[in-house]
This record gives sequence, structure tokens and C-alpha cells, in this order.
Amino acid sequence: MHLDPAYNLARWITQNEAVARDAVQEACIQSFRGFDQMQGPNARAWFLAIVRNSCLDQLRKLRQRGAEDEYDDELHGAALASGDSRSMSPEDIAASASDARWLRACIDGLPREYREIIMLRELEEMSYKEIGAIVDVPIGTVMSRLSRARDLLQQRMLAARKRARS
Amino acid sequence: MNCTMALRMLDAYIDHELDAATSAEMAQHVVACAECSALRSQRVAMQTALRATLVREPAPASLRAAVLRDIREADARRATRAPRPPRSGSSWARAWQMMLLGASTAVAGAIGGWWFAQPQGLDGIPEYVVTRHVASLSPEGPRIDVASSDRHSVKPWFQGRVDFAPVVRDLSAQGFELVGGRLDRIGDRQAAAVVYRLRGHAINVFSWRVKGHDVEPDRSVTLRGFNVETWNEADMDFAAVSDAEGAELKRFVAAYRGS
Repeated sequence: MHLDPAYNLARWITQNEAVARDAVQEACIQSFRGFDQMQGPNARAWFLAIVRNSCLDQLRKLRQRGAEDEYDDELHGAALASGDSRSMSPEDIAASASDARWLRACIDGLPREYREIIMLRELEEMSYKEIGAIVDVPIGTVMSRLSRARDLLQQRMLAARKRARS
Repeated sequence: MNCTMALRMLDAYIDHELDAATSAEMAQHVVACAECSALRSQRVAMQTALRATLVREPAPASLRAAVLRDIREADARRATRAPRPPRSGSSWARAWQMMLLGASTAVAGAIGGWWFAQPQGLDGIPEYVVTRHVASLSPEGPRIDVASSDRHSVKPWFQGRVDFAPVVRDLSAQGFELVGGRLDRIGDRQAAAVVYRLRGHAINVFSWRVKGHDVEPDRSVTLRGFNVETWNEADMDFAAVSDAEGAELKRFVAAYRGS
């Protein structure tokens, strides 16, 4: 029930399969230990908050060891270049976003805060309140961050198109 | 409502996060303002596309297995640390598992085997089944709420009393006489008990609805001289119990399951 969302969230946040797995495993143990402190009726939001923290812990550990994964610009660039159009009308957005690889590459290029909020909103379809609980920010911040994330994503999609054209 | 405000609230608007009054004001503005209307269309197109394209990938089976192994170990440690925890080790793990893995039958089956291996085990469904069976017996015969050898009387009786349709078969050709049905409980679940008789031996078949499974598939145990057979189907668990011989009960279960 909640393991799939957890795994997906971890992959979006860490952008690394192995790290995501470690983070989910760790989060499961933590949630098991803290099960009696589960707050509120929303088990999914409670669990995803633990998963997110676990991901951030894993990333912190990696940075300390100086082994942070290099951002593979070439790979992303190549994927990004596969789009093809002139401007971003709603029809264009719909057409280009149907290319899952291309779309994922666009989202992958966003900073972590924006990746996770888009994932929680569009993939998990969570409410602002739930997202606020998971990301640990007030609802107003969820609103402005999501808005910014969508602006950036749209810009990236447009830039990718331009690059493909030139 | 002016454009500055509208832009600030555009995302909350398409996400249906605005209160009704503000949302109505937004709707009015968007109809009147071509620029905001265009932005709204873009946003909606993006959201629709994202939701259509981004699919949740299932967690790999190996991760699922690793998680279950971790929890088993953590649960064992928990049990040693606290001899009498508020929720006993395995039912704790069970509750957690329900929360996390919920509907996954395959995993529930795998972990189910482990619960039963636990000493404090789900306080043993077979043990519970035997207790309910014994409680239903009296010198006059098994206690029943609806007495009938006609399955068309017994099955409808459960309508409105349990939220599933229990299996009631006419097994007289195989030597099992339908006696009737009864409302019962297995743990905190409401169960249907269908009662048969074989040469003076009462057979109770309990069935109840589950999310993850409570019982191991196709297991036979003998407790206090009673034989218990458990099995499960899609979202139902079953347990048959009787003082009839093990082989006879197996034959009964095969007939009852229609195999």
C-alpha cells in the first residue's frame, strides 16, 4: 500500500536507485519502531515524512563521504534534446510531456525541493496540507513552492525544446 | 481580484485548494482576463500531462523482501527487550505490515507464515478456531442460528448479517450433512460459521473477510484432539474444525472447496 509511494518518492529525491533502497529500508525500520507514535489518521503522510527524512539522511552521509553522485549533464542533455517544437502552447505541453523519459529528465533537472513537491502533488495527488506535513513547511510555503516548481519545470521544458530546435 | 493576486493563487486554484469564495472570484477573473486564462490553460495542460505520463513504479520484490526481513529482526529484538509490550510482538508487526503493505496478498502470505512461527503468535488462529468450535458444541449438538439442511435457506440467512456471502454447499452426496449456520467471531472479525455433520461429528467452517491473510494457506494442525484445516481465497480466510479424523476433515475441505 505505502511501499510503492515510498520507493518512488525516495527515487525522486535521491536520484539513485541504491540510495533510494537504503533510505526506504531505513525508513521502514524507523516507522516500525515509532509505530506507536504515529500521529493522526493519515498513515501514508506519516510514513512518507519518515521516508523523506531518511532520504535526506542518506544524502547527507554521502556528501560527508564525498561520494555524491555526479550530475550527468550529458545524459540529461541528450534526453532533454529529444523534444521538438517551437513554443509551449497547452497542446505542445501535452504532446511533449507524453514522452515519459523526456519529462522525467526535465523534472530530474530541478532542485530537490521542487522535484519532491511535484512528485507528491502530481504522482501521489496529495493535498497541500499533507504535503506540508511531509515536507515540514506551512501550507503557504507549499503553495508558493509548488508554484515556483511548476514555473521552473515549464522553463526547463521550453529550454529543452529550444535546444532541440537549434 | 487583479492579475497579481490571481497569479499568486493560480496554482492553489487549479489544485482546488482555495476556499469556495476565493475560488469563485478566481473563476470570474480567469474568464475575464485572457492572459490569466492562457496561464491557467498551460498549468492545467501540464498537470494533466504529468499525471498521465508519470507512473508510479512498483517497489522491487527484492526491496519488499529486504524490508520484511528487517522488520522480522526488529520485531524479534522488540520481543526480547519488552517481555510484555502493549501490543505483542507479532501483532504489532502485523499492524505495521497492514499499514505499509496492505493489500499485497503475496507478501501477506509470506509474512503470515512468520507470524505463526512466533511464540506469541497471532495468538494462533487455529487455537482460536478450536475455542470457538468447542464453545459452539452442546450435548444436544452444535449451536446454530439458522437450522436447515437446505443451502438455499442457510446462505440467504447471512444476508445483512455479514458483509460477504459465505460458501454454503450441499455436500450430502459426499456424506456431509448441512446442519445450519451461525454468526461467530474470529478475533475482532465477524465470521460466518457454516455447520455440517459427519456421522455425529460436528464440523464448523469459519469464514471471514481479511485484508492481509490471517491464516496460512492449506495448513493442517491438531489441537486438543481437534483437527483444524486453514486455507484462503482472494479476500477471505477459512478454517474448518472438527473432532472427525484428519483424513475425513481433509476430504470434507476438498469437497467444500469444490475441488
